[in-house]
Amino acid sequence: MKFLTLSLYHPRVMRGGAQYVAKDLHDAAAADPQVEAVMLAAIDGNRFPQYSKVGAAITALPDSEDEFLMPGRRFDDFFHRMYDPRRNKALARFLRDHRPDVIHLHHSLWVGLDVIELIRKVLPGARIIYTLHEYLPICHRQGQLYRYHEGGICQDTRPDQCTGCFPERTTDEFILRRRGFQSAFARVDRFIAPSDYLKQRYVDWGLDADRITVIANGHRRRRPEGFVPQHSPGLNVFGFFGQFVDAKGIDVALKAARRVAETTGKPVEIKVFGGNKEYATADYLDKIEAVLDGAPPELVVTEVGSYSRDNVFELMSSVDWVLTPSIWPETFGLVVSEAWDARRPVLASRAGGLSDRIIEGVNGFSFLPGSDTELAQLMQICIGNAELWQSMAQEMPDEISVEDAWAAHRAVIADVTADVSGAVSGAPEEAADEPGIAGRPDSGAAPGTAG
Amino acid sequence: MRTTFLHKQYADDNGDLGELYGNEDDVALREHYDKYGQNERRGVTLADYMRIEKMALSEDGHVCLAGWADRRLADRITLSFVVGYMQYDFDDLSDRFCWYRRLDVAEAIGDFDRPSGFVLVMRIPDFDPHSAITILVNGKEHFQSATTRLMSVQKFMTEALTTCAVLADGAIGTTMDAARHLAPGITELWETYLDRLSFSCLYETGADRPVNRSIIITIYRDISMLMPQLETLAPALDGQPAEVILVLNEFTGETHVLADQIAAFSQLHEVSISVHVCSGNSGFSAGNNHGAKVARGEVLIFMNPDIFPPEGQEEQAFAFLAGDPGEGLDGALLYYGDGSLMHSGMYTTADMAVDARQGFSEPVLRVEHYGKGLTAHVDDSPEELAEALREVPEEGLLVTAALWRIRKAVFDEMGGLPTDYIIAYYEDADFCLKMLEAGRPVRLDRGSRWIHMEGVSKPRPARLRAVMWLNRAHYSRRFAGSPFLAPAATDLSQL
Repeated sequence: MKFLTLSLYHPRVMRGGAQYVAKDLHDAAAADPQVEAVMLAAIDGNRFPQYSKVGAAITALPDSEDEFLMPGRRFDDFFHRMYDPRRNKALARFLRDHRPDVIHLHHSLWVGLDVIELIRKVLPGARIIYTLHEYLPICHRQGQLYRYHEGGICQDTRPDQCTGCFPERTTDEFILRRRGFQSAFARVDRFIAPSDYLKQRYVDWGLDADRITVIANGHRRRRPEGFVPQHSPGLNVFGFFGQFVDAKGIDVALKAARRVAETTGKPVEIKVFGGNKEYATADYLDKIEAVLDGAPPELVVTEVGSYSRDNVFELMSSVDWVLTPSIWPETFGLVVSEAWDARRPVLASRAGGLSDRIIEGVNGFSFLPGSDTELAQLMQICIGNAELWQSMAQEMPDEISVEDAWAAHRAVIADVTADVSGAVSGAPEEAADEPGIAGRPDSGAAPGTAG
Repeated sequence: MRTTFLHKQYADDNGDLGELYGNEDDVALREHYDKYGQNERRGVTLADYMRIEKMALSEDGHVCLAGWADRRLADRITLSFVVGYMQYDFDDLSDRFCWYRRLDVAEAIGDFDRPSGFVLVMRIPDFDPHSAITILVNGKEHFQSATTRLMSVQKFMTEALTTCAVLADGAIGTTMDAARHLAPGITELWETYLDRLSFSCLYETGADRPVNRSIIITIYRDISMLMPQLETLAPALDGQPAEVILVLNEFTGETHVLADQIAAFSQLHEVSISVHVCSGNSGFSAGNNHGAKVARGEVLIFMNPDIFPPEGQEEQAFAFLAGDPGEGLDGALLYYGDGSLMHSGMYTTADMAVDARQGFSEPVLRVEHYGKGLTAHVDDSPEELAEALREVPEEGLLVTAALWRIRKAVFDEMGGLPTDYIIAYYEDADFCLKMLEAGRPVRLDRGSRWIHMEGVSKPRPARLRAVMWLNRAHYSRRFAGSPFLAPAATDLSQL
């Protein structure tokens, strides 16, 4: 089987959850002796010009086999379309050259929903699976389903409600946006959702439940054999791992920690391993400053900086408990998998996919999103509680491995290709006589394109 | 009572007369006063009874003046324009001055009977551009500028229309007459502007494919819905003998980006498309007329850029694109984006525009949509729809040009859309009435439902309010006597 991963970004270009998942699955597919795997990562060429070559819509990733980049110059971030004739030509040729049986899309940002139409034109027999990494098709507000103007998770995603977040836009525009996504998605054979919560949000939005398979994001384990988890003497070190942006709820964690320090007089330490602080709003940073202003000496907050997959295990091991206080409905929460890998219990808000994963008292605890009082109560229970920590560290199950996730994907692939005679073992049907670029040699000229 | 002419005072105040007659010749001085002095308002400072508050000048000699005057002292106005080394004299412009009521002026000068605000739009023929301009009112210097900026015709038109908005915002009864006075100047301006516009073909594909119908989409500036619209139309057009003609008015985006987008769309869909970019804003009529001119199809479909087939009901909508309108003009049912009924035909009816203080009374026409605001929905069954439209007549109605179907031969025979309406509004009703007057059918295709994403009402810019007002006045004058006006009694009850 020829398997093409078409993703947003590549971890080597920019780190991020969706691209990690895409790359892990590509690697797992490449390691599968029955699979010939290719990866093509769409990137913002303006942001990463070092990966763009003038006139080339697709370029190779240095020192990588079968991994390619597709830098784009323009992207309609409302309707999620590229409309780039040069890229269309190159991608059509790429598809014809590689002739994948199955194409796995991992996002629409910089990939563009028009790519689905192109695939259907060029390789009508190919099967398309699409992983829903976040809520962007439903929510233009960074795909977070969070109403910043109200301070709550968005439960009603009908188009008129979207104008609450975007008063400069009309309801009609959001109707069209939804229609554009749904008509493109009608051409997808199967969707993958990393959590039941995310699946349900898409079902509520209009996708058939039967077309969505839930497969947790696989985790590539870093824990060495025979690892014995250790904790700090006071079991009072809490770690935040994630982006330093408004919706991640760092302020909630700090408020809770301050509350504990003030009410108990016991020392509490918060370590913040967060990148992208430059994307946090000034208001949010002010809010955090206000939380820390005049805090008691028992509260110690250390801003450690960003982290990567390569050192996250060691960094996780330097804290006792991991906090995921997100106020937006996280789709999955890769950091939770990393915490469990390091045998760290998680204190997570009951938001989105996080609530699917926490088993109270087994692998963590949950609290109401945004509730610093409930989190403070949990922290008080946790601090110094060696017996609790040990039982959880010993008994918490790991998230499924990347290999397990790939096996689950293989099952989906088998399902969607079952009705295509020879699709898995042979070449996909090609639209040889299709007009337009589909069946035309790539010499077909379009205005503004180089020959 | 005794009336005395103060001839000494008259001579003292007017040095030229004193020098000519001395201050003792009461007969000669009185004779001069009766013959000239009274009309010239000798002894009165011009600025005390007339002010020019706004002056705009185009490079083609179009002039827009706005201000106020005490009509008791300025009942007849002559203007002279000294531009550089040329002087242009206009003896009597009474008919070109558009007067309107200004309460602030009335309070100041004490005249509540006569309108004191004025707007004048006119053109100086054979204008020789220069930056130095002096305006003489009734022979006296009234306005002077050594560095007057000459506006392009388009910019001037925007300025002039914006100036007229103060009239558009007034009650129609008090401003209808004013529109008549403004019409010659504004119409001449619009025609000059239109004559100078040109269309450039930005993109064309599929010109060699046979075509029997042409979809013409004229867009003003905002192309944000264009690509979604083309995508929703694509299933009806892919591989079909149809073409899409896009006419862009005042397109402010990057043309190469648009060309790329259309090219990328063309790679995925076998659709003949051409894109024509206007050098300015030709308005709805001239834009669509250009589309019709370059169209290759026997049938023309005029479509607004915010028209979409309803989700899940595409086939019935697409049937409209394939149908033959015969010798008539067809429209379709239009629904808002939320699915409620927006258009099921239109009628036009007359109200009386009255300015009792001036003794003015004239019919003013209004265009109404049947069914607008009804609870009918795009998903209704045919029976529910029939019930909703029970009062809508089968014939003699008008249909909005948001979506039209007409044979090219018929469209050409009718002379295309009228271009004497400025930019937009009322031209489609005009065309429908002319069709009816010519004995041609105008029909609503009740089997065809489309979405018109007209959006919510937003405050209209001043110039657009002026355009609507002027066009309405123009439409009213043209069709006030039409036999196809809906009677007042019908208007009171029909929905």
